[in-house]
Amino acid sequence: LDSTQLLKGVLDTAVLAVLDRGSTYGYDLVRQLRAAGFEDVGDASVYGTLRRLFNGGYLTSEIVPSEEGPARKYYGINGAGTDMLETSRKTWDEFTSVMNSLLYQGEEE
Amino acid sequence: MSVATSLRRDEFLEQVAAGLADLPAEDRDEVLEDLRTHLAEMDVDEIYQTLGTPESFVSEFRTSAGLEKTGKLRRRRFGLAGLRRSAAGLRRRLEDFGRRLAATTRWHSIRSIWVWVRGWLLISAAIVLSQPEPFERFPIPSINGQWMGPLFMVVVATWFSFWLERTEAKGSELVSVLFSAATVVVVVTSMFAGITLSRPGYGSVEPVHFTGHLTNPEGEPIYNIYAYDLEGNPVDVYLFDQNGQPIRSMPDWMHEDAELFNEPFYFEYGTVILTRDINGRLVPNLYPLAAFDHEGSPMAPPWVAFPDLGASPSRPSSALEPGVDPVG
Repeated sequence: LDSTQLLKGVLDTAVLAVLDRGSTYGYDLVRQLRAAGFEDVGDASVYGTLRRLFNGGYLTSEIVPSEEGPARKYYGINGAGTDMLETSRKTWDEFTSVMNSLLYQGEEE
Repeated sequence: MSVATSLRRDEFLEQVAAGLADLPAEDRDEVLEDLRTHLAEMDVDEIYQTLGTPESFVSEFRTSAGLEKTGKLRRRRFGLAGLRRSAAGLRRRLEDFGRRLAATTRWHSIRSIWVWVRGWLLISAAIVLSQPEPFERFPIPSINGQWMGPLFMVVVATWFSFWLERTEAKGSELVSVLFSAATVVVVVTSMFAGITLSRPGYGSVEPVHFTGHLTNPEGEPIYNIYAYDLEGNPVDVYLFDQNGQPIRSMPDWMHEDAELFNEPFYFEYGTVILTRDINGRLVPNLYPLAAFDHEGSPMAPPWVAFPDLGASPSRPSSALEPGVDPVG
């Protein structure tokens, strides 16, 4: 099973989940996703996802000056984004539940 | 940050920008701004190692952003290949503009009219450039007074114009464009030539060869007449022939033109301005005519020697007085 393909299907949810913890900028978002275990996540994929979610009205953005370099654009989740994340959580729960029952049902019996 | 590092970051950004050229400017600028701060966080070696090539970055970005895939990135390079790409880009933009223009009804009308008239315009303008009197039978141009030949040329040019419009032969579109361009160039040239000819004082003015109907014994045309009283003072006179007709030193066509255009006449000896009466009608036989040389200076009366008539000139008091013997 190719985890990269799986990740593509859930990257929206993963990005929303990270932003739900607090606003951050693109580079840090990539770092957090990798730290969480998605080591192969592509920078371009994250930026593409951010762009799509922002254009879809699920995110906010804010320019924040930085002492270390150029000003950074911080992305945050808004109400629509939170709703979407909640829906995604339920879908994920159902999905994993089904998959778990399929994968482990025999082992439990 | 070294210059080389900066250049590599800029190069990466520039190529990504080229790959996102189809995005709205605002969207593209935001993406590039994100990427610029992202690159600033990375070592230069890390950029290509982590992000891959600009092409792969753009491709991945477009996929995850839900954008359509595009072809290869347009790299900005100099040299012949760059020039060729620029020319191809310009051509694409012109073709797009042409297609949009062609979609409008007004353009169709203008184009139809242009196809109709460009043959006539081309031939007419070329004849205007080469002939002093190109339109004796307007709208048919004429060469040396002959109009059949020019008419045939106009018919052939008009037929060719229509053929170019309808044929799908290879290269016909280019020929059609060249035909239109040649027409415009010749028309504009003939317009400028016309303006030049109608202005005095230009070296390119073709002098009208004066062939007056009055000539002196040497066969030279008499275009002006100076009269003096018996004391040798210059006087203005009206001249008439034996039938009471005004004596005109200028050719008839000059007088006809003078009726139409209130302008001086330029001929090989200079310029003449015909006098008009208080009602604006020409007075063709008032002498001397107001004549000017090519520099615009009034022509001085010729130097003349008057005969010595003595205290009592043996001259009839009036040549028209009946019953008087002129010899006394």
